[in-house]
Amino acid sequence: MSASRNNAEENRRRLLDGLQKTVYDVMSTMAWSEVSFVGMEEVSGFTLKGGVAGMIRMMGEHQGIIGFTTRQHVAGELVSRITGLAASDLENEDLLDGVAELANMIGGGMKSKADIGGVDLTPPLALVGQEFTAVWKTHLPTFVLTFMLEEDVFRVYASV
Amino acid sequence: MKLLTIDDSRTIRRVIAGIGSMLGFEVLEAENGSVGLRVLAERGDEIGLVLLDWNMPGMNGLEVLKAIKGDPRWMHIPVMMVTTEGEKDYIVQAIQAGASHYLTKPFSQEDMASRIMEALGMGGMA
Repeated sequence: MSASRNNAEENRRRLLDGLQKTVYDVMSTMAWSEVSFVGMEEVSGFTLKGGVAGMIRMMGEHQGIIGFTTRQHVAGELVSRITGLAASDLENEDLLDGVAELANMIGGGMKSKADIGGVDLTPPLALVGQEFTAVWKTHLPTFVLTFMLEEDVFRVYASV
Repeated sequence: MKLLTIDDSRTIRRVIAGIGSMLGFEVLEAENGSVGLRVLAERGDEIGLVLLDWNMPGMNGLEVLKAIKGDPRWMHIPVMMVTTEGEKDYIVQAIQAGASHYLTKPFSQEDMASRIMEALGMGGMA
């Protein structure tokens, strides 16, 4: 196995480890959620579907994309807990901003914890809607990390 | 005494405003560096602490920090960086540019409250 391929796999491992730890930190500290990691699997392609999604691109030496999806009521509850606003009082702009900030913290935390250098992150993207499909055409392997936030599922996708 | 939070995330500004209010401070908000500097120009004598994000559109946090510390009107105001950038290089840059405290996101309410009081020279949590 070549040295460069070893490095790439080591970097991927550090990013994924960092991602798992960061999701736990974000959910447990700012959103006061009980969070547990269910498992990780490799999937074909980076596709997000559903009620709410947040994404952030990795640029620089290490290219990739990180995203998450969850149901709208779960995202609303998370943003409510983070901001202290009742979920029923959240306007669409509050939800979008909150989801974007979640993507920002998850991406930024992963980057810091992986500490591999050469990772620049774009501003985050938030999608809120009844039905959508977001696809990122990539040749990179995609991994899905599944978490349980109390009784709800929270999936994080990483093409790195 | 008031706090000034400069962050493009409305969510984070709300969190900081809530914690500041809980500690008994009014929190002024700015959504980017230019607005933050304008708030300082208008109300700098009321502000005891600036909480500053790093990654923002327009001027980034480091540029805003240098502008604050380079201006004799405001250079005495302590600045706490509040950012997702947790790597050592970023922390060193911020400290060298004059930041007095550095807190990475995500943060707990207790951590933020404690850092605010420390930055204001008021010891632990109120």
